[in-house]
Amino acid sequence: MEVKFTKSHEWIRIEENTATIGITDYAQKELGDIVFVELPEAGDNLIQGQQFATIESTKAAAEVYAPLSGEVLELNAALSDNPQLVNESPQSQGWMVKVRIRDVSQLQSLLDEDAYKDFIGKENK
Amino acid sequence: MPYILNTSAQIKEMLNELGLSSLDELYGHLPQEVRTGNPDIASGLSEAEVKSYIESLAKQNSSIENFNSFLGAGIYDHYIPSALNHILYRTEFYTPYTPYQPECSQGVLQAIYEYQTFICLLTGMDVSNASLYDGASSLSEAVLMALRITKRNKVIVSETTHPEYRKTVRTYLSGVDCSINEVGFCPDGLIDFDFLKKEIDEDTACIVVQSPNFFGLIEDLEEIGRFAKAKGAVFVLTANPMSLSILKQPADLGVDIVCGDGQPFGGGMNFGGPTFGFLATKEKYTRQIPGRIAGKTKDADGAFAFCLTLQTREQHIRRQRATSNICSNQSLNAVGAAIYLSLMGKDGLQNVALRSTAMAHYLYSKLKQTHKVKLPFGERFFNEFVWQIEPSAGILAKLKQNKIIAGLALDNFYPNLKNHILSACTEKKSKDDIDKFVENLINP
Amino acid sequence: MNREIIFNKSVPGRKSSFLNECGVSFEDIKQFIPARFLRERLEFPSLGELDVVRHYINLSKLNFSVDANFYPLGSCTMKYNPKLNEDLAGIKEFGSIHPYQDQDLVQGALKLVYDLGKVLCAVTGMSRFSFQAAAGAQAELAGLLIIRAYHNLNKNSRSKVIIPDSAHGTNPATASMCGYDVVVVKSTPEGLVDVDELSKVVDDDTAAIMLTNPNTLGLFEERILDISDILHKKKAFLYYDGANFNPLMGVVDPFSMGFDVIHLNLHKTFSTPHGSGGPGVGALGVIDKLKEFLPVPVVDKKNDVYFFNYELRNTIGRVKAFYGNFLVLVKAYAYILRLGRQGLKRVAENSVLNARYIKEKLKNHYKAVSLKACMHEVVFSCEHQRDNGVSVLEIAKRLIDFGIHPPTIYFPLIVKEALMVEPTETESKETLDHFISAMKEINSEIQFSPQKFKYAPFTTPVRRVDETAAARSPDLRWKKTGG
Repeated sequence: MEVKFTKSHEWIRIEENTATIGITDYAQKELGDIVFVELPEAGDNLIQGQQFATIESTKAAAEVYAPLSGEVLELNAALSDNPQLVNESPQSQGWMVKVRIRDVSQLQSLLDEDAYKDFIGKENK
Repeated sequence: MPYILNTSAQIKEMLNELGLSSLDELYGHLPQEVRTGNPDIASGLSEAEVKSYIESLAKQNSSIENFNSFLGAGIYDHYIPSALNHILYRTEFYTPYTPYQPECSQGVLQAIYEYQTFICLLTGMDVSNASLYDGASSLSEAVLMALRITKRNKVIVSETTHPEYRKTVRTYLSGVDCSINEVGFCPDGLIDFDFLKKEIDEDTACIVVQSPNFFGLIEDLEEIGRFAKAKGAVFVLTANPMSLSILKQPADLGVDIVCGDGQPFGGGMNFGGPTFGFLATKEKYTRQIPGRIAGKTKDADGAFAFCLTLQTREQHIRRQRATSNICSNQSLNAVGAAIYLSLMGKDGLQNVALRSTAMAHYLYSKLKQTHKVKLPFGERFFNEFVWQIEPSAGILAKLKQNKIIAGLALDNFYPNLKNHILSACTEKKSKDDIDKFVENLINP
Repeated sequence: MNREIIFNKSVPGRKSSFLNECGVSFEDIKQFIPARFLRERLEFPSLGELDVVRHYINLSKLNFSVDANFYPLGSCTMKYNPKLNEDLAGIKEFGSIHPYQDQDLVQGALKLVYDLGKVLCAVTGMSRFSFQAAAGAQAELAGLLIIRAYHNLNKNSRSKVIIPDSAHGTNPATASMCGYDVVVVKSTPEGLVDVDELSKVVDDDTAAIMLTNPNTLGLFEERILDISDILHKKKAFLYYDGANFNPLMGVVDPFSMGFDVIHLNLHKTFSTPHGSGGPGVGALGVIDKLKEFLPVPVVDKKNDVYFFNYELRNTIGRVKAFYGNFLVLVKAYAYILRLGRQGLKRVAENSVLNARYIKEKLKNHYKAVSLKACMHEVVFSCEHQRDNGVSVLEIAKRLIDFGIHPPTIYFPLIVKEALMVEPTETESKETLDHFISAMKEINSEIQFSPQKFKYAPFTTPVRRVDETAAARSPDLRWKKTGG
């Protein structure tokens, strides 16, 4: 199982041709207390780089961008009643969608964990 | 200088702190070309002079109280209990800003929460916002909501919706890619169902209906609701909120968004403004609502407390993706409505509505008995109705000489309705007022 | 105090009885309106007059207000609201006139509107005003629709509106309501519009720029004439968001800065009260060539008779029923008459002096965002305080304990931990000094007892309000069960 990252602070866990997507711990900390998560519907098609979800704190609304293109297979329904899961467990229980990967070559554009850590280190300076 | 506390000595001292020697130097870094100031207006007046001048302007108006008036058409002369303005003109209500800091704004936040509750109880809806500018703009915002909800682009509006509201909707939508189709009315003054059936289709985002309509008539909302539902369109109702105190609640009739002008709830006529707009809807559309909403929560000690909430819908957070650009609303007027409704209570409010209706129907029957006027539409009306007499202009002018304002001539708004007059009654009308009016009409 | 929601105070059978004898029952009404149209229940509370008076008077006491507290809320211009204005707006011949009364019965009201328009034209250099818009945002909507209509009429429709990243949220929200794409231009490190960047994005598809001047950092856009050249060369318009006009009144007029369409918030600059969030007025002014596009009606005069003119050739229509928030106009006009030419200028100058004095006194304690001279407001960044464990939100909450309404925070968005202070001209040096010493005291508290800030404010009717819980599980109305 492999976890990748984007510069827009999404994480992607890849299992065979399915990708589970959420936002990173860094991103949830920046947003603060999350109060609402708006997800796409199952069957929707994500396009890499385009917005597919919105995460709201009391004072901000952040767009979440698709790290990969593909069809939405499943949503994390628990987020509608418990959006705080994104704060409490961003990279596990706070996952957002599962997507069937359409184009494996898109994986190459993603960062591995070290590169992402490097990136946020620089962004903080 | 009025309203400036700092003395010349203090000003000098502060300038010294800044290393400046004159107020003019505060603008020293501005380009000389723009420092055009010195507008050609008069010098300041004393407080007494301003007062007497503005009072002299006021005297050039004639208050409606000098007349036996039957004007309505969106603004109604209901009785305002004395207690209302004594409360509302507390400076703790009228001088604060929007309550973004809840710890020092609990009073107004709670009043708004109570206002929202009153609107929900009245309409049967789940959620109300904290007010919009007025009836016309709240209708426009409701239509914009419907476009977002359905992602369709055809708007159907009944022609018996207030003409100024329809015009406002057209202006609000002029930058949006959509069509607006108007549905006419039958000879009885009610919406033309055959026409509506032809217009409504799978592209229809919403049907907009006013009821009681502009002619005062009560539409069959349940039937219209069925049409809307069959095509998946949002049903938007604009209503005189006073009528809702006795009429079935819109939520039970298939209405999805109800809006209107709150002036009848303790608002002055104010030459048309300020009033306020209300808007309420079903829970599933909460995140599409424009404007502020107050919510109940807890403070750090677990005591109940209020704050503005769901603010991510709004312009100060979501900017170009906000549900509306609205920032300031008509908060004070909405708080006024909450106070009015508390003062009136259920019975008091319903009595106002029942009495207004009864008076309007009394006038209707008196006019009918004269055999001098035509009553073109049906009798299912709330507090206003249309009648016809020729030549209306001359007759209205004659009545006015006798201190009677009979109503609004409709030909400006509906060129086909020549010599038609819209007259309204409120609970302030007595049988005597009405008899005098009719007497004057018969024997000018 | 019994802090309860009004619905829970209801006592069955109690009433105020404002109508002695109603004399009409539901049964009587059924002969006109069939029963199937009538409602059965209405769960409104039953209360007496004193119940209601006491409830709301006690609620009012839970609010801060301009009359009781210093309110240095940036970009909101919370100046003192003269009591004279309220008295005049309360005159019966203003409040008890119906919008559809014949115009010969409202000549005084029409004259007031007409004359207020003339005065504002003199102050701003615009050619004509409309007072239909109820607030700044609604005037923005009307103003951009005018620009849109002008371009369309000239068969030159355009798709972009340019907005600086420091702009008020209403600007992009309005542009988007009008169907425009929003193009954001970045500010320079000094906090001004990046004019080089601007010249790159302005093109033949640009409809307008929306600009606040002084901008939301309290800085005067010194290159405003270059900016207007860039836009005008492409036949695009300059929209002036007049939220920050207070420091320029009588000193700089928007026309000479190159603006074509402007709005003034009468509830900011012209002293009408904010009413806990409204009503206001967004007075909309335009240059000569856009006059015929204004919303209708406007007030005109012929042979000394005032009348509503609906015949503007290219009018965009209406944004509101009737004629706008008329009573607010009475207040603004009274204010202008009272101050006159010299008074307005004094307002502007003192608003700048007060802000700059605060900046001078606090700049060694809080980081001023720009080294440039500020106008009527000053923005600090509390990044340093944040690094010491106290956020600007917590500083704001602590200020309440000093009897001061918090300044605007987290705005403009381009400033980290922004604290935006606008004292206005009506505050005295003593009040400013109180604020300055409170801010300094807070700074030392941050050093010595930062944990305190987690719990502030301590003196308010409620403690820190849980806004997160409010948004996670919205409770937006009272309900009979569990309310």
